[in-house]
Amino acid sequence: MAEVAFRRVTKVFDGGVVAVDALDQTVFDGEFMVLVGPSGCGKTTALRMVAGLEKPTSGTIEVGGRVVNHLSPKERDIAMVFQNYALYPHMSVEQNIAFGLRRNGYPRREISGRVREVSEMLDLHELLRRKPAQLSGGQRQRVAMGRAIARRPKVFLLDEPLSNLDAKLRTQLRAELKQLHQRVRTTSIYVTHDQVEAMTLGERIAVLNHGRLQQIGTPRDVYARPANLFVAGFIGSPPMNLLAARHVPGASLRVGAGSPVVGLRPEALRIRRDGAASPALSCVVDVVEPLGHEAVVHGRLVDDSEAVVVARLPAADEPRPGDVLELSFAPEDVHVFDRDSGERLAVG
Amino acid sequence: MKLPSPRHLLLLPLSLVMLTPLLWMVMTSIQTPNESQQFPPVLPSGIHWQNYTNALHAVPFGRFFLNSVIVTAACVLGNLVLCSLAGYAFARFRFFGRDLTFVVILATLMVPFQVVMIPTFLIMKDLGLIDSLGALILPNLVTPFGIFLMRQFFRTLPAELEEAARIDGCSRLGTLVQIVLPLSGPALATLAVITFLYSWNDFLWPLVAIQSEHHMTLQLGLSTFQGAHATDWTLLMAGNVMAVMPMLLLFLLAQRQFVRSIAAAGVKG
Repeated sequence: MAEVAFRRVTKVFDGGVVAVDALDQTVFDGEFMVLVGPSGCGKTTALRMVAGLEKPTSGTIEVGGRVVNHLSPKERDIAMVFQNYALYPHMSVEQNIAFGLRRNGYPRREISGRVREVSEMLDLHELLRRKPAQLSGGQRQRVAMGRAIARRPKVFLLDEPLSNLDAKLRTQLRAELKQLHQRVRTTSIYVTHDQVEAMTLGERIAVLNHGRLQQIGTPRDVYARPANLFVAGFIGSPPMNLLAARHVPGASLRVGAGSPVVGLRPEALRIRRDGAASPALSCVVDVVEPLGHEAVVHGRLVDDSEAVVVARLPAADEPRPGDVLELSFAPEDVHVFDRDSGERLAVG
Repeated sequence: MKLPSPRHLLLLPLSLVMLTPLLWMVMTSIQTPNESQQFPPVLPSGIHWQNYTNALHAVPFGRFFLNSVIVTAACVLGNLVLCSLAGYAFARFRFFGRDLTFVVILATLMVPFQVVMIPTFLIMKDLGLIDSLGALILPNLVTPFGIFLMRQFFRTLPAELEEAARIDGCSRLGTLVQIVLPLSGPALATLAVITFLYSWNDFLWPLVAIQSEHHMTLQLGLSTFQGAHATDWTLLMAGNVMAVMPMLLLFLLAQRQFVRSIAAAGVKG
């Protein structure tokens, strides 16, 4: 196992596209780190640079304290799970799992022992003789994981490994993946564009946009104290409401000069009961999405029909389109950002 | 019984037109010399198998056959190995001048053989290969078409497979041999069939490069049945039937690859 460190790593592709811009980040030994961001944010490129499939334009990458920039993929002692699994179609499941071990000259007995161990761990023993084409998506994903685990590498690299699966299977495998990491405790870097996956899997998450690291922290930190407008809008589902300060009663008083943007999470909004003194937004309900235990309500502010507000309300409070709601919030749930720089401003 | 579709009604007589030369060849090969001279052609009075034995004895047929097998096998093997290597480099490696080099190689497809025949002859002469099987093998060991075909196929394979293999500890060559080639069956079969047909049927270059009977291939050897003044058509056709047989067998076995190869060559331009 090992620590992975990016030291001011930059990758510029032919044609001048900056995929990763001065990335400075450390993934601790045994940690499950998720790189998350929209497509094209450079997260996959960052991962591929750790794997040795891309060379950094500048900066260094260290695995276990050793600079690996000039090492070939096989010398880095890493294993990677690809988005499309990249199982060798002409080999059986067993041969797929054993391939890396064979290439690295492990004795036959050791190989069969590890294949058995991995197939038990991932419930693959019934599939060992099958070819990848005869497997379902979930099974292929497990074989791809098995192939990585059998190598016992220093670092696992996972490139959107769940994105080709249907929603139900994805949820199930997400839990399995988390469990697996808790058992093997191998340093893992997981790339996804899905913020739910990032929040649920990551011990820490790193949010990237346009090749730049926006914020790094535990899922709770990133959710509770987004560092800037991008993170605020990206993490959380539905995303945070971002409103001009003048629309939010009480907020403008506390942020002083400048032109701040106020953020309120949909789950921070509650219907104000008569007599409550907390500040509130008045809005007209456009669309209601009932989810059973709660309802996602889309509305517009009464005094500015351009300003859209989304709230997650308990099922008991489910309004109807056209209703006018008074949505209150606690002062500690208010996030304030500078409109120009996008940076988070201290409240108070 | 299923009725033939209108398309088949048109194709049936057309296929008969295509088959006529083949049928005529087989028919002549079992006729007497006298019958073979008749026009319009007449059906053979009996089956004269002795045309075949005569053809086998009139010339060193076995030698010709062996030479053709050696040359064709070497060319097929050479193309499979060398075109795969070159095609893989063009498909996956990034190096200076790659695309330009590839275009230049493709452009040589447009140069007719007659143009390069004399330079090739001179090179073979300098190498001391004229009138040897080496002269037939060496210039055809790798072909631009083969490089093109393999490159196009390799580009259709997912790059992640090769990346996974590299992470699993394969060198670039190891990746080609262990991962890419086992998945390239259709392209390799296509290349093998095309090279086989070309090499087996080649007449012009052996005619130029080979003088002694000992080194003649089948196609060249058969031409010795044609004299300046008279030709024994029955022996020539008996020899031809025997020469065509391996090709027909190959076609029957690899028909699907063959048709696909023509489709691939036509589409992926």
